[in-house]
Amino acid sequence: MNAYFVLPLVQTVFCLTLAWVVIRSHYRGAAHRFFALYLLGLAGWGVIIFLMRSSPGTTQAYFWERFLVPFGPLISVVLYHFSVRYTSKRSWGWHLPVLYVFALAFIPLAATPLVFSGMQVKPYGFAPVLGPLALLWALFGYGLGMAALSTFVWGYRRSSYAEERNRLAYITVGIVISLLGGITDILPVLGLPSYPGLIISNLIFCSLTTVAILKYKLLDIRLVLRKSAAYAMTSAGVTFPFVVGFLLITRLIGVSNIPTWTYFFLVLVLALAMPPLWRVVQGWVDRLFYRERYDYLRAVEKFSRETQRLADPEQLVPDMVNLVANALRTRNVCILLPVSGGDGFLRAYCNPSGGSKVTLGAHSPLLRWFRRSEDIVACKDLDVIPQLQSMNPGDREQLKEFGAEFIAPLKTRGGQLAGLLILGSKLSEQHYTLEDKQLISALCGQITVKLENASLYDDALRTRQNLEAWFQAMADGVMIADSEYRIQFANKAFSKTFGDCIGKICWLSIGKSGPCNSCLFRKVVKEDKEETFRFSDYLMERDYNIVVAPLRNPSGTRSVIEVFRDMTAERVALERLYESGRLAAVGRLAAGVAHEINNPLTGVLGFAERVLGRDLSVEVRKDLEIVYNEANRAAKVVKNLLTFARSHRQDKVPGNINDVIKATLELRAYEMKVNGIQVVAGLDPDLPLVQFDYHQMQQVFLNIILNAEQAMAEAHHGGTLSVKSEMCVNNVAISIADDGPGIPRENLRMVFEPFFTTKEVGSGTGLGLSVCHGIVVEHGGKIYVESEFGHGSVFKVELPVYVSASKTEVNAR
Amino acid sequence: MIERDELLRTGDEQRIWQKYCGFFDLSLSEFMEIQEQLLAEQIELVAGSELARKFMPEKPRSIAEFRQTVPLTRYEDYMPYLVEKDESALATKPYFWAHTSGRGGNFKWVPYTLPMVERFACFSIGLMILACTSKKGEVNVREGFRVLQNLPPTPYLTGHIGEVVSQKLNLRYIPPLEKQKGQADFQRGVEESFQMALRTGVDMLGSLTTILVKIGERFSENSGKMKLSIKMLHPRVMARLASGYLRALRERRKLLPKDLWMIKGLAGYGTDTEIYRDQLIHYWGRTPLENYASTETGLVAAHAWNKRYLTFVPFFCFLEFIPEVEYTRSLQDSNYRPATVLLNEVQPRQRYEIVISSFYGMPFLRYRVGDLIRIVAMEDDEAGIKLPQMAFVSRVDGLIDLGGFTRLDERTIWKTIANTNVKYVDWSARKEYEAGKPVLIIYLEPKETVDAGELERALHKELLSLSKDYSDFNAMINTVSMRLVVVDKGSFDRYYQERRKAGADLAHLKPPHMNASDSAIEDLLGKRVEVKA
Repeated sequence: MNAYFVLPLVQTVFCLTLAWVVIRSHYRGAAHRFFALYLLGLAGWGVIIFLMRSSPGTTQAYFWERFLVPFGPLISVVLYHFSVRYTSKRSWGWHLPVLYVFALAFIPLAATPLVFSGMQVKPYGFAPVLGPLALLWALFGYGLGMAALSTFVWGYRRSSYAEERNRLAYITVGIVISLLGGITDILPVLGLPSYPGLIISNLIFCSLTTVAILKYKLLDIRLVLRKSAAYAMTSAGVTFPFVVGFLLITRLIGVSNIPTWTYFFLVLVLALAMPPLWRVVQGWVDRLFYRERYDYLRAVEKFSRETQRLADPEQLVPDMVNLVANALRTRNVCILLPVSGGDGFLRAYCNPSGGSKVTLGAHSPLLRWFRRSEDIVACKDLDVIPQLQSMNPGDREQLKEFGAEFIAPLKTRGGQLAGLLILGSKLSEQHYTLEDKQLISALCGQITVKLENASLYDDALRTRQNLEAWFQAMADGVMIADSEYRIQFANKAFSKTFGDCIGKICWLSIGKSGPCNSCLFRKVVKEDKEETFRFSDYLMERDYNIVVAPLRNPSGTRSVIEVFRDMTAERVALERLYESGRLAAVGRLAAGVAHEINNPLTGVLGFAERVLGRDLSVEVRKDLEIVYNEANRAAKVVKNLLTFARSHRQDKVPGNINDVIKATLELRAYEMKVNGIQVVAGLDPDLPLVQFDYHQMQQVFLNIILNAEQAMAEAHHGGTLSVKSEMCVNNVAISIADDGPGIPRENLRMVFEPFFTTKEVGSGTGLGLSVCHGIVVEHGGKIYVESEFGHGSVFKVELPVYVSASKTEVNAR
Repeated sequence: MIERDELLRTGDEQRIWQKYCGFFDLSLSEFMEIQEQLLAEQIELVAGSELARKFMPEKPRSIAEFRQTVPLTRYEDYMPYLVEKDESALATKPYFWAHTSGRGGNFKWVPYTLPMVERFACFSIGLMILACTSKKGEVNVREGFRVLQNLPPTPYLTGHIGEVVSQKLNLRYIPPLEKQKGQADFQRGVEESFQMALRTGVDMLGSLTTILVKIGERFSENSGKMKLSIKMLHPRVMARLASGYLRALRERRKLLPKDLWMIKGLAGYGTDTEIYRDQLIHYWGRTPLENYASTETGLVAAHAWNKRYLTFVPFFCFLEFIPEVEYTRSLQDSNYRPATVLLNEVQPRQRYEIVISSFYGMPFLRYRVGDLIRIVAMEDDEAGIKLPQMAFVSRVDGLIDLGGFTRLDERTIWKTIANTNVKYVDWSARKEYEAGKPVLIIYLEPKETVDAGELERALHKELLSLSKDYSDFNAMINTVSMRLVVVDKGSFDRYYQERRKAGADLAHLKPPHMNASDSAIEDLLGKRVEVKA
């Protein structure tokens, strides 16, 4: 029994098995029933064909062949009916019954020779002799087969579900194979050489369709076809040189009886030569059949290359959007990024040709979902996933308007949701394939890495900017130097004091001729100490507290950070405080002494005056007058001492301090003019009131001005006296500056001490400035001097602004 | 515009299941997230409407504030707007108005917005899928499914939803919806539908449980004595009857509905489905699917594929629960405002009154449905569902409180009667007084002659075993606190006919099972009843 007889039986058994599988499947819909009926029909067809082929003669074969006359059209109508039901195609209500009637009309024709007029014997077996209506019969069957094919193609085009399309593609391929097989059955009847292949093609069709309608998860039909074709071509490609090589070698040897070892040798040689050849052929075929995959790989490579060039974080996302659009050939692409400080995804970047922008609120179920899931979501699945079914209609509408087809999460390695990639339809209007989805996943990974890097870069930049800003804003000078004393960084305060010094040796920058003696730089760097050192130094005529701390560079080398705090002002303030305390002590002492001296002195003066009123000799009178005058002088000293010690009554009233200054300047105007002293007055006319004792304050200013006059006169017989009044925080500040010789540094601390004077003996008591100090302190103010030897002196008096009692009360409330 | 659902056509079981039944896989936290998100959107949506402003003058800024500031409401609070169908007071224009008949003859109109209708239609498909399977993930429903539905037609919600589902899915209703719509007599419609089903066959049956039980009973009572009619001469009917008889013969029993219709799914509607569960399985060969839904609430809970407990559905309304202590106090003091808990705060084996706030622009805010439910478990281990499971107990006003702590619900009494295996037409129960003592009176019309004393003892015995409250109460007063009143034959039918003639609504054609009024009992018994206090 050869294939000619076996094949119809195989068809019968195979179709019955498939029919049983279809009928027993857990879902038995109308379309399935029609397909099962079709399978049963084919099984019956197989039986008839077997009986026909196994007939002993043409007469008996003709008997069986005539059964096919109604059978063929009926099976075709059932196939068409199956296609209509399966695709849910709405068709005219009457056309299917008409087709069935038409098919049934072939039953009486079976008894006539109108379709098949007899049988003939062909090399392979029996073949029918066609009658006058054979063409109509064949056209009817084929026409319905074509109609079924077009119905499935229609269903394929209409469906938006990839799975359903794939299933319909399987059936379509099956029908095409079946129709091609049918042609091979007709050709021999028409006298053309061909082996009847309808049975085999029908078996393929039935298998494909059964799988398609019963299984949901099907391999992509294109992949199946491609793989089949690729393997066939590769095999053919490899076999061809193999056979040619074999033939050539056997021909070259030129003998018909080739020894066995030659075959072994040839096989060995060819086996060694085949793998590289196989690879080459495989490469050609792959390029031919898997062009898309190559395109994808190229797209990923290109994307990777392009994104490496993107450095500007601001431009990064828009550029990536465009790259994704180009890589996937997608119309609309949008990347959503989180809003800093918020929960929502509102910062959207879309490609220029993209649709409207998409934004998602903080509580969008989509964000909740993607925080938990890493899968790409097709927009049509938004209704499918239960967690997304509650999605806001507004969000849905946005996605719809954008034309979104897929949403992919951009997830960091830590699982954080860094953003969302939204993809619209493809430019080709084709559906996304499995490979497209793989490409989307790959691109999402790339984008996330890029975004992470950009974010890290941004963070690093911001941190650096912050650090710099903090360093630059520091009032203290900060300098970082390497192990060779070379300055790597200096903040503004440092540069302002020591000049532009980056790259310079540190001790040169601070005006030294060698490393500072007290600097512990060497200890920190060379001895690799981790401790922090503090020391003080006098640099550029200022006092500094310096903190040195080691820094370990990322490269492992050591640097040193030094913080220079200018302590000059603090030191002066401290000295002033110390001085005030000391003066206060001296004042108390002076007051005690003055009281003690004042009493006997009063007695001396009184008795001297009484004695002078008597009639005395000239000599005695002269001596007594000396006693009286000296005692008087001593009384004045005592009075001044008491003034310094603030032990007398004051008569303070609110007033404008400018009045006192002007009056004092007027008082000395003539003398100053005579002495060549120019007065520059800068008095603020809007000064607030100050409570003061007019005469005492006049004494203060007079003392200072007299000292200045004297100093300028001695130094260069004239000069400029600058008098200024202004507001200084809550005080009124009066400064009196001269361009005299200045006060040596060592004397600065003692100018307000009682009896300190640089004048010749007898020309001053040394109490002038100490009295000024006493008066000013008594007024709740401050007096101090700033002077640089050789560059004049500035005396500054600060008095508190007068606050009326009512105002104080209001403020207190 | 209702869009056609394409997913079922593709046959992707996994996605179909996920879409329609995937909510069973939600965790409790996901459930609460969905609830809170939908409520937040609802507040945004309705805050400006006249009706919502009545209860919510200021838009709450949070869910907690919403629960604090918005009072608990009842239908009476909405009546001026809803009974008049005042659409200007609503936040969203309704897609349709659904009619429902409240207890005591108070009709209700409920506006249904399009998103809610879509949601309901979607879950109705889900319920069909669940009814037709006993395995998770198995989808036996396809386009062209033959559905026999004996539920009230439009303007009742069931009718509306049936129409919408047919727009979404190509179903074959038996009888067709157009025919159902024009059917004035519900009972006649039921008979016709089953006659038609003899010819067409049925894939799924959705009906009031009482109807399903009655048909089953009729089969077992009249087996072998089927009335022949001309309609039975149809070849399909004859084939069906013949195969049905053969099947019954093979199993050596009377012909049952399950022999004629090998249905894939059975959905029972009514609070008695659980009581008749075994009978339904016996008659129809399928375990009935139950759900807890109402016109005002939408679908609140549904059976899973194992048809064991009711699982809450998050998508229809925001769920709050008044604990038993709180609602009892509120019953005693109408001014008392009971506290509520959320689903993630409920306790197993506790009873709660349900409070809902609608989603999708529907009108109800913190609405007391008046139903009592019991949390039976916090999870369903068998099905792997991680959400609290519930069972319906009764209406709040459907409880019979015998002695302050003895609360009997409709289900308990119903189950008591069913457990005695007495064949009855219908029943009604309420509290009356005998010699100043409260007594539970059950009015029951048996189908056959019964020994009333024996039946009363049987009922008492069953009730003692089913209700611990009743058992404790009887022990306390040391007497039988239940009486059976056997009602004359035909009393319930007479009541039904009289009410139908009077033009009563479908829901009020029968006397209520629980706490029927004096006039209802008078009409039932056909005489005046003196209630002794």
